[in-house]
Amino acid sequence: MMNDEMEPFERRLSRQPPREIPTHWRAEILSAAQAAGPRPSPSTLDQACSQLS
Amino acid sequence: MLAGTQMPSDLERLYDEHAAALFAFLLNFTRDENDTRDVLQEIFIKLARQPDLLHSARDERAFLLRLAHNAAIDLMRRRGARSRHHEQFGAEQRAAFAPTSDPDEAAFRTELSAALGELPADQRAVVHLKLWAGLTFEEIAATLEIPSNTAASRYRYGLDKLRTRLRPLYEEIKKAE
Repeated sequence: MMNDEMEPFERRLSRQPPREIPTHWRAEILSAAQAAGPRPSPSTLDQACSQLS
Repeated sequence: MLAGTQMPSDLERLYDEHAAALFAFLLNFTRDENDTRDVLQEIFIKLARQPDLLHSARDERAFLLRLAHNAAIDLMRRRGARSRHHEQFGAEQRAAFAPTSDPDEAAFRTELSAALGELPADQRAVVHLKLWAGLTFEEIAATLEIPSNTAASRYRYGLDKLRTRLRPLYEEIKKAE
């Protein structure tokens, strides 16, 4: 039941190449992620506030 | 630079190393390119916002596949709560495989894509991770947070259905080879 070896039918399936990811997604997704950026932690905000005051 | 801050190059590296595999998994799981894109973007936004997220991960790919699976399940639940389309998640016959100029291969890929869409989502996830992500049952179990025996049995059930569904075409192609 837990055998990880493949039979011919499984090998046939596994050789089918999945569709490729659209190339333009890279710039769009990374740009959205970088714009979202790391959220400043409460301690960072406290520091910034104390420096402003 | 602050400790733990994720450089853009880290996100780029993660994308270059793992996005193709996450895309293939999500497209097969959700059967919808828009949903796939939404989930993939959600994952990278999470990585950008929580730079330490991957620090404890022993295997980045497995960790990201788990994030992708969980995010897709959340999406499925939101859909289920909003409408009756829950059961249709996966039923759309989106091409999950690369196009080919070989007509026999093209027909096989079309049928395989449709047959995968007919599997229950939990079986489809296991079948994909085993056949196209190359994970062992132990790794699939860890990724999907299920027992190994459950991963193996879901795989066997799913594979049996694919074998039954594709047998005529598979036999025909095998004879021609």
